[in-house]
Amino acid sequence: MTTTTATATRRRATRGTSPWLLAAAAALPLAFLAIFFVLPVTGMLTRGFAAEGGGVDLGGFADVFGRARTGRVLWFTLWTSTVATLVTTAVGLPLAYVLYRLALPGRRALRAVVAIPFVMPTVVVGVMFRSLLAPGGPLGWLGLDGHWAAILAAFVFFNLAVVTRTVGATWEHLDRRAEDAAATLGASPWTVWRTVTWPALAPTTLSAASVVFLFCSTAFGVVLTLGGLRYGTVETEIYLLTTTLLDLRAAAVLSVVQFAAVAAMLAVTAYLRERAEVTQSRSGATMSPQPRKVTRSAAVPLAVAGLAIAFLLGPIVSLVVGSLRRDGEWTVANYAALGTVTRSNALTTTVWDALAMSARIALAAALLAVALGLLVSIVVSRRPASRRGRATLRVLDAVFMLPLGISAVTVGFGFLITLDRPPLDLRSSVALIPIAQAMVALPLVVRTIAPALRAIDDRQRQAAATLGASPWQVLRVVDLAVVRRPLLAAIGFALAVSLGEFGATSFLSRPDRPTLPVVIYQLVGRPGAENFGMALAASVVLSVLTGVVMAAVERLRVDSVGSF
Amino acid sequence: MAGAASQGAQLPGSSEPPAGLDVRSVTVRFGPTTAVDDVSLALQPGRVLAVLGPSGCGKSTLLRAVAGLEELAGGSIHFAGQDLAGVPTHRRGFAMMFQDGQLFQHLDVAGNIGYPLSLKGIRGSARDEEVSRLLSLVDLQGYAVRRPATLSGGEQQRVALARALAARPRLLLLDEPLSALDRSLRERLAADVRHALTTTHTTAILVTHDHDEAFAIADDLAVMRAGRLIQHGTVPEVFRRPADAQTAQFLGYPTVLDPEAAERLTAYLSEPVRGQAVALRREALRAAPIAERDYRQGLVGTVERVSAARDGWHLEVLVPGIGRLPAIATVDVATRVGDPVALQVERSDVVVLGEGGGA
Repeated sequence: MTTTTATATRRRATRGTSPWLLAAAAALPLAFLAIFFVLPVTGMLTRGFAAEGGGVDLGGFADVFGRARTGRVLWFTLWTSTVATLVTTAVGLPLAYVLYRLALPGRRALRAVVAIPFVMPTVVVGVMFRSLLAPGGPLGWLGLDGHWAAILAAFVFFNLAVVTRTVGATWEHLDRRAEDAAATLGASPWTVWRTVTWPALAPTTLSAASVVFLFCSTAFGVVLTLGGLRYGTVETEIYLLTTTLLDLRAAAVLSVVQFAAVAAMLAVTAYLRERAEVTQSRSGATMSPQPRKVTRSAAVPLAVAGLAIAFLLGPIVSLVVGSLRRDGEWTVANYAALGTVTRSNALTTTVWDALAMSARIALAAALLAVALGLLVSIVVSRRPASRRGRATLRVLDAVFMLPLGISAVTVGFGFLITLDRPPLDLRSSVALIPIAQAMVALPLVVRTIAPALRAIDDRQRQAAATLGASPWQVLRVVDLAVVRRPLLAAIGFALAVSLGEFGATSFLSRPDRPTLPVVIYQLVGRPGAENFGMALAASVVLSVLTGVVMAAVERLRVDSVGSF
Repeated sequence: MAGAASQGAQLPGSSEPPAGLDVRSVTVRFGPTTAVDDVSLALQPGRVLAVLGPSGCGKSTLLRAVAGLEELAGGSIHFAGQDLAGVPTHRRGFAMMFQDGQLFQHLDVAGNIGYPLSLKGIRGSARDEEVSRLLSLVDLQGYAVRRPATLSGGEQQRVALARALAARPRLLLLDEPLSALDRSLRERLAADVRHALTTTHTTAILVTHDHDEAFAIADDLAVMRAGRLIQHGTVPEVFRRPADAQTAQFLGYPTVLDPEAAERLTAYLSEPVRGQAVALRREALRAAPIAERDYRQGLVGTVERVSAARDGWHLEVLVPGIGRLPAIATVDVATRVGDPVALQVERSDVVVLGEGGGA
């Protein structure tokens, strides 16, 4: 009566790897996380409770929650995130079907199109929607400039990739013969979807949706550039309280609230992901799933997908067109201005210098994130024999996901207030930016590499061991061989994310050596069509760079990139 | 029409359009490769047809085409006189049972078997009764609330069979239903499948690469190779007259002899085979201790290998002018490698290839 499937054997625990080796591998990333994440974040959070002259003071909570503004901000964060998540999921599912399940010509290219927004710098996304919706822009007549609908649209734009890629990766490998079986039993296509496909996709979809909600509710750059002073989320409110109103206590209180909410959501996400892994019956190696022919019955998903692609390309096209126009004329003046520092743009460096700075920082951040991420992935992809071992790994896995949900603003500001005295006086060090960016990219790196390691049949390692390979050799021969492509993909992904990172960088960037997203934000904030034109041109340059990096990543065909 | 019949493309004597399944010149292509190449078949209601062939011969694709899961590049499929072109899978009433069951993991056993019943609007106690009737048909009483993942491979296939039968299909399609199971289980389950099909009078097509499975379950046999139909007839017809050497080997004949060797082998029989290739069953040659007269009028050879088997000794004997042949000997015959033996040919275990119905 025992289950004798291959999965059962594969799930059997590892005995070979010594726990000491794993502990050693985990120590370095843990130390980094402790110093450069936990310390700054707790430093920031304790400001919310610390009373004058020591002791705990919870009065801050009563004070902050007593303000009408807090309620407004919380409510706005909640409902925009919820609506954006629902819309993103509703559009993302048909899009995933079309791009991952249908034999649509050019679907690889379209998948790349969907992936672009996700690595687009948030500031750029904000600038893009402004250029589209501003009076005089192509959609200026809608009067949505500064409207909440613009924020909502940007959320969907930004997160469609999360749902499409996560669900698509699962859908593509779903055994289509289960659907065939249902069809031969008399189930219509709609019934097949409702009774067979959806139950298999639901956990993954919910997991992706919860990640989208997380991203929306902690979004920063987009809201800051699009919302102006009218609309604020918890994240921008923390920023405002910290930098403009200098109300650190209130900022800390909001950070604590956000942290609690994010931790709860991460727990839910982890639970859903685990269920997603259990319920998926993936097609075996004997039959590779073939995409279905495009037929008339796919008309509705195809239409939705077409609109979604247009929605994704529209702002991008508008951005490029806008960057090539000034005063109603076609011109490259905006690009020519990128090399200038004038009184009107009031920059401290040229855009090209900022770009070089961004590239250097991003490269350092990517290498750091991948080095740490690889160690974390090796550790969390093990399956220890003991219950305690498994529980420990689950906790570790969750801990390294924390940066995903903690407000980048909190991290950035935490750096400033905790790493400002010996032995770690790094406040003025340039090294802080890549470290902060690496912390932001780390969860994405782990999400890219760990699935490949988890997919290794443990018996491969056992076979290598029986042939006389030492644990180190096993790692080299079995694990590293499999992980080479995901590793390259992770470097590219981390590079793209770091290039566009704005939340933490905005705090740490030094005035004389800003990164490109910071410069773009400065340009958007300055009056004058000239500066806005420059912001558009700089955004195009930054997007092209991240786009090129992501195109290279896409060529590696690693499914786990950008899926959660 | 007469030409087609002589090629064995249709059941012997079937000139009218058949009441059951009628596959006419069906071709299925995947890009440049032709998976099914101009195959024609017919199946009378109530009969079970086994499509036999090596893996990759296109038999599963043919089955999927009948189910409406693959597009035809040419030809047509009719059932009960109706052209099925444009009829989607779920309206054909052809339930399919897959090699690995394809049970719905999110439903329990009763949920799986009840799935097609719910689709037909059968609910409540009627559904429960039908589910338990089908469970007892496949000998799985008491399994209703089990999850598919907790079942053994054989149990999963039983549930899959019950689920397919629950749809009351006009035609049941079985795609290598027992291939994933081990041998003894396969033999037992083959008998159960046959029983379930005959008691429910189900018309069925079975696709398999295992001739024993085909013989145990089917009435008719179609042999496929490289996308083409090689031979088609009742099981005894095909088994007694394999169309060619490869078919004979695939049907489990261990030895095939060319016409010249066949003539030498049967030279001492009352009805020698002349100018035709033959296939031999393992029992075709019986070895006995050699006697004086055998050297003059009989088949003799030297034992090259001996191994024990359930039914006696299995020998390999080198016969001058023919080559190495498998033979059997009873347990009481003491043979050793190097011994000379006399071989007696059982004419009934020697079948002539391509005779009559073969192509």
